[in-house]
Amino acid sequence: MPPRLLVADDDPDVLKAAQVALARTGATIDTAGGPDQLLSLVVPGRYDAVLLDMNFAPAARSGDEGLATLAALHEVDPALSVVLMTTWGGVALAVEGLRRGAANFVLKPWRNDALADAMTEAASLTGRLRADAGAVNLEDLERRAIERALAIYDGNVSHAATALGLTRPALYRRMARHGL
Amino acid sequence: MGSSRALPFAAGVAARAAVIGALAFAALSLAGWRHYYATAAVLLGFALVIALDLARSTAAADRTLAQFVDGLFAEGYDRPGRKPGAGRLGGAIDRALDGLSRVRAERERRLDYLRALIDAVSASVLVVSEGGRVEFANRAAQRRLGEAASLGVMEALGADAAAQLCAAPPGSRLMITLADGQRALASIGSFTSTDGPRRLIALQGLASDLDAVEEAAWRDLSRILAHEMMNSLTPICSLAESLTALGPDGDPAAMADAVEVIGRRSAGLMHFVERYRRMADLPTPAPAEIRAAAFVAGLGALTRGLAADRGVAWESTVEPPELTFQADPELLEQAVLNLLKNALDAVASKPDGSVRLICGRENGAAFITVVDNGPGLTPAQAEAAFAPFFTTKPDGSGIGLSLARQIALAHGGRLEHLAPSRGGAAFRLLLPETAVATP
Repeated sequence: MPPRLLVADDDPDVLKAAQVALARTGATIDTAGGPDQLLSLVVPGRYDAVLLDMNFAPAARSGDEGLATLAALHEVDPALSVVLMTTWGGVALAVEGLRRGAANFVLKPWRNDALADAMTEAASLTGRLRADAGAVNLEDLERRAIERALAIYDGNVSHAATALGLTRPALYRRMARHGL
Repeated sequence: MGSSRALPFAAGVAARAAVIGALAFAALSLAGWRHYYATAAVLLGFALVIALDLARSTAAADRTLAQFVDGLFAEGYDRPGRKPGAGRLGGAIDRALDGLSRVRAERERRLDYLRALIDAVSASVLVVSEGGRVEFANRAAQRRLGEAASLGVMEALGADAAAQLCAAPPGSRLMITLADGQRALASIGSFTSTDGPRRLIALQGLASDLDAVEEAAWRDLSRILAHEMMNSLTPICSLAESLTALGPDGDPAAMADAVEVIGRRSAGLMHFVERYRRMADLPTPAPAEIRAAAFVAGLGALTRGLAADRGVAWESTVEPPELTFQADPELLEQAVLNLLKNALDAVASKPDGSVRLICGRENGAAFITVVDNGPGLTPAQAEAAFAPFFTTKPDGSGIGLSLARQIALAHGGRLEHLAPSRGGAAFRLLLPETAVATP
């Protein structure tokens, strides 16, 4: 399945240029003109990477909007990789963005190759993070199932093991692993 | 000087005098008998020795007193040749000298403090004699005078400046141009030293403060230029690169679209640079005498209609009504109109919007303040407000306020943002004190 990318910038020409430049990666590309539209589009798992401008308001240069949007994105979809766009001179800002969890940054004006590489890399990073997150979630699910079974059977391990379809020793081993 | 030192000085003198008297009397009595000549001579000899001792000890006391008195006026008196605690006079002198050296040390400390203080001020402080000779120069003044500081001549400030500073009446303030072209505000004071009348001159370089403001403005400007240009160049560069990669086989509609964007953004860049040049090429002000009342009336005529169209209340005051000042009428009008336009825009969406212009005098300087009751500026906006190309309006150029400040600076004045306590925004254009003819 081709990666799905989301590009956010207040300059429609920048959006157009990014769309053309990223088209050859084979990715599906959506665009957003501002933080609100961006956040309305993002649901967990829909996008593989986001290209996010640091400033949206006219003449804003602080990068606060970009950093706030980055935090909001991670709230919705913690595994989603975000690549920040910043103008030359905003490197300190980009570093601050990396510190706060951005996957990468590109300087404006970008080279098309560099932009495509950064976005492809970010999308595959998202994929790895989601796979890890899935693993973590399986562990969690197992632990929660054991806890619930033990609660239902008032701590009776034999009954809980039968209910879970496990042998008694197998359940004891899993309980030990989860520290129960 | 023997054991008599331990006795009070007067007792020693009295005892010696009594012994001399007794010995002289005995010698004279014995002189009657011829066999006792030798004894009388010996007794007289004793009397003479004691008299010499008396003379010497009196002379020593005299010397000690003389040294003490000398010590009062000489620096670093350290009681030469005397051990402390010898006799009542010695004790008293020791105490007096201890007290004196404490007072002196305290005075030195205060002097050091004042010297450090006067060296620390950024203004140049000079004390000049009647003949125009520099007798004191603080550190800032020494820097300004350079090598001439040690020679005591003021000419390093520039012959004209030196002459002006020596001729100006005490208590006056004047603007002078120094040898290096820097402009400085001079305050003249006077006092009388023991050597006659002295002139106290304080020079505050104006350029240094303005330079800092202007330097900051230029730094902002270069950052903003880079930002704006890079933003505009982003689609141009990227689309040009994409077009090259597509080659002749690209979708003609998409290619035409890309070319259109490249053309439009390039034109935008040119327009941007044009605006920048308009601001950078500010003409040198040609000051003329401006009657504040007429000037404000002229601005009112231009503003009243605009305000009425938008349902905004307009009000202007000039205090004192006869106020006049020196400024370039065209540039100043342009600056204030920019402030008024901003104020009108700020209250555009308010049903009870009002814009006020206040022209007046404060501490001898003329000011023009434009006040509105709009939403005001956030601290971040207030900080960035003067930066070129900063704007909060979707179609704003970010030139108006920046240009108004450039005009204020070119007049030697300044433009500042005040946050009125009742909300809204106020911008005050302050002309230099020298622009006001008579206080």
